[in-house]
Amino acid sequence: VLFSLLLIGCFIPFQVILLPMARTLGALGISQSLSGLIMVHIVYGLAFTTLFFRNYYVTIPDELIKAARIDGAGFFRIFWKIILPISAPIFVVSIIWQTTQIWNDFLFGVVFSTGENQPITVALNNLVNTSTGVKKYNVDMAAAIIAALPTLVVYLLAGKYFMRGLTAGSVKG
Amino acid sequence: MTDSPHTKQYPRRSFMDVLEIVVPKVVLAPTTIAALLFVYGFILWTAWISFTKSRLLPRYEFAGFYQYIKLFTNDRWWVASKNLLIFGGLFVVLCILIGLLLAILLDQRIRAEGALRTIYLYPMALSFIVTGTAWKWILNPGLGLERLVHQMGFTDFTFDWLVDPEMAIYTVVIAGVWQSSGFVMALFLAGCAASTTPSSRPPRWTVPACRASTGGSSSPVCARSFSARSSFCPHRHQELRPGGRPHPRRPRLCLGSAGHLHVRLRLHPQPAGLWRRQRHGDAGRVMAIIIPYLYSELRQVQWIKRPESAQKPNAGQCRPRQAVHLQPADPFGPLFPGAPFRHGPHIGQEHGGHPHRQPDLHALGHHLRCLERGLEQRLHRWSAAGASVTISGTPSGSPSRGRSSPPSSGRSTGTSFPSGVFAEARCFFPCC
Repeated sequence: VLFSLLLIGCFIPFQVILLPMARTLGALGISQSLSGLIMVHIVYGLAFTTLFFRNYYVTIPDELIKAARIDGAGFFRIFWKIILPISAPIFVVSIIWQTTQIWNDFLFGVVFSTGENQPITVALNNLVNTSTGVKKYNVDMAAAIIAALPTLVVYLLAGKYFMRGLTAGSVKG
Repeated sequence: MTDSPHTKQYPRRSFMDVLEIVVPKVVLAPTTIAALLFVYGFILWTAWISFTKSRLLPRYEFAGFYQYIKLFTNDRWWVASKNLLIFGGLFVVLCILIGLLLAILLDQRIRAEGALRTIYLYPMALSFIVTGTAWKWILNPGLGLERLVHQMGFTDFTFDWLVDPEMAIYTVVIAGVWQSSGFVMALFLAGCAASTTPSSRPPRWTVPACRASTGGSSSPVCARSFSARSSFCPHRHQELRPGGRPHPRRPRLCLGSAGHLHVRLRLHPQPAGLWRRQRHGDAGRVMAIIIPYLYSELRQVQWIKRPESAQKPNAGQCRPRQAVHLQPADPFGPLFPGAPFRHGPHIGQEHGGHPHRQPDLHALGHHLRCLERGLEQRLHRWSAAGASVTISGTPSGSPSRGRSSPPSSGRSTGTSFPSGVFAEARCFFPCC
């Protein structure tokens, strides 16, 4: 039940929480700031990362955990000594997924940040859509390339994990 | 009463035991609270505000459906809804179609599969903003595609969807499909891989033609595999006998001018264990072809073209076991349109891949009567349909073959076709 509750967190359109989130950030005194944006991404990244880790851990055979339990290991001991050492791949998946998602995010960036706190996607959008002055396509395209480059690098370096992240929810879910 | 002392022996739950039960819940609590608060709480909050008189700032006075009525009487809302319908429908349909097509094409064991997959999937790693910006330039009539075609000389060409209010939504579809169809492809590929890797599952893609039952065989094989035995007898005609019965047609498998291949079929179902043995890993790999044999043995099929000097010393005599593996690259051959096609895997050795060690030879008996149209062509088409084809010769001497000594003319033209070789055509249809 808890899992499906969290799963819904992955699928809601984030527009539905914009206004309350803005109010909350305002109440916390971190609206339009970088820390506010960070908090938003943490909160709504939780659903995805939980999904990833959960889907990874269900593939671990129960016998492994039971054996450790019989050997007297407690919850945290099992976690540190057994689960964590085999979790490296899913950590990579989560990190890459979150990196690309946050880098590519536009909605939260445009709503919850202003001025110099804006992420690059918002800046690119503003740059390209300025109607004043002469269009400088070279500058615009350079900006687009810069905006696309980090994800390209991440993707080329760890495409396998990226792929796993993309398909984590859909195939095993 | 005998139970009560027994039950009393159970120790009470100690503090540590309770802790063991509680701790996982405690660990999970922050995430749960965050999800409840920031997802469900905020959804409810938004819903509540929608029923109030709020304007720029929230005013928590209940107003019923006032805001909804305002919304539904707003023309722009309906325009947006219609656009969403167009975009959503086309986006989903096109993404699935293109993604499936890409997945099928990529799943043919083609060269550079990984690189292509990487390329197709990369747009998914891009930001929507970048995609939108780039496509805006591409579709811009004065800047992108239209200008390019104009500069190529086709000045009549117009592609101005981007500035056409009626068509602009379709440009969004183009960009969206470009971004996501690679992802859909990846999903299809992942689903396909998931369906074949667990050893217990039957193959997802089966060739319909070989789905006929195999009598008592309980093997989950692509249901029917046959061993076809064909005897190669240059310049002799022999009847094709599926299942031992005389076949009405006479197969004449011309191996060039010098020899004919005559086929005699014997069909027998394949034991279940064989399939299991062969199904390790990717099914396509299992049925795969042994490439080192491909070249050398293909040359031996064309015996007539080889000079006498090139023959093996035992040419014309009983030939030791031979294997021919054909796997031409001809996706979606006419035999089984739609059948998954695989070619070129340099694998198979790990399954004891040498056919000599696989006593059970399979063929698609149902199609073997087509052998009359020429062995090579037939095997080509089988392979095109996704089958791996093996022809292996066994030492002659079987009473069921025909006259064993080839006519002298066959030898004079340089054929090394063994005098009376039992050959077995092996054909197997790999599954996805």
